[in-house]
Amino acid sequence: MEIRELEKAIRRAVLADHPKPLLATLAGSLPGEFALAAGTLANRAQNQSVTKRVVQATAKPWA
Amino acid sequence: MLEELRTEVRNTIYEYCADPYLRDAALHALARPGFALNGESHCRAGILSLEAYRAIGGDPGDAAVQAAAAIELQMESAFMFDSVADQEVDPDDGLTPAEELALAISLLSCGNAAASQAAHRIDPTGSTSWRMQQLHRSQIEASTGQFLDASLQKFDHATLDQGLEMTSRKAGGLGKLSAGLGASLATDDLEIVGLFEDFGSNVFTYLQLVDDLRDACPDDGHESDLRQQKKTVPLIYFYDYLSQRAPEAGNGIIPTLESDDAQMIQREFRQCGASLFCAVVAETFLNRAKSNLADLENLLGTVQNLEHLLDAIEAGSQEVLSVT
Repeated sequence: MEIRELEKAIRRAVLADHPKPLLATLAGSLPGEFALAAGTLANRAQNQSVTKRVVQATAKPWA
Repeated sequence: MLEELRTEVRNTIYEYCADPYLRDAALHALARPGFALNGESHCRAGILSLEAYRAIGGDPGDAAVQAAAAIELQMESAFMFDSVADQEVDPDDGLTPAEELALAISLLSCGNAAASQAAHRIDPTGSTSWRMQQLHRSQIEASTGQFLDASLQKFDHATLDQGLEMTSRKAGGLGKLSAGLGASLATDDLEIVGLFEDFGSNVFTYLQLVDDLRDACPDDGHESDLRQQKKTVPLIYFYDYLSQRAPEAGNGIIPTLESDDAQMIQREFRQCGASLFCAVVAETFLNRAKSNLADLENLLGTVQNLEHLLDAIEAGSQEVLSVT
């Protein structure tokens, strides 16, 4: 596992003030196993935010 | 299954720690938060051992439960060593660091005695030595990780490679011995036992990375690993980031934090990408564990119980790993 490559990729993106979400963008450029892991995390984050929006949109006050 | 496991832990202490002063101290220590006899504890190591056994050999009998209790005692022994190493022995527990260490060694020995007896009960006429050899090798791996952890603390600088190696040996070694012992009681097939060991190692390394991320710089007022300058994976990333931002501190040397403002430090930790970094590494180990399960499914037919275990572990970690 080339953990240094992962560190460099994330640091570069952070220093370049990369637009969010970082993970989704990084997933395409990371080496091997990290790309899969970043992709999973990005998908999960996306699903969570979708769920949150749905909950917010449906949780309307009675009045 | 948890209650059965806790009862067996208690029985093991009564059987092997007969002297009342040692027995009472052990039972008292095992009731601490996170320890086997505490009602809130997940007993993950013991449960992993039992589920590994179940995936191969069906319902675990008394010997498999005894082995799982042995694993729990070895796990608690490691926790107690950590509390001494981190100078976190709580005086409220009524033990000096020397007593804590002596108790840790007692629990480790107690676990070994119980594991040996469990192996003999499973196979009374065969040789149990290979199973114990496997167990001891994993214990030595975990101890190597503990040694590395203690060694890294005396240096100003640790590399990410060192941090990850320490984590995967220390936590991974404990996962390896947990799943490996359960599996070795159910089969003599070394390929299957090896796959279970890999699975346990990857699961526990994942869990440790999740813990390290949670404890690095918490915003709930708990004592942070950062304040103690621990050399965990997310913090080594953070130290490197701070060093590069302040080159006069020297590459990799832990710089003095500019502020004691906890909120500012937390913000800086989040912004530097340390959480992202650690989450990706943790997820990589989780994916490896899933890949081990796929291999085991090919060999065993079904590993549904282990899939459920992994799902529960993954679900419990999502809040910490929630990064974008």
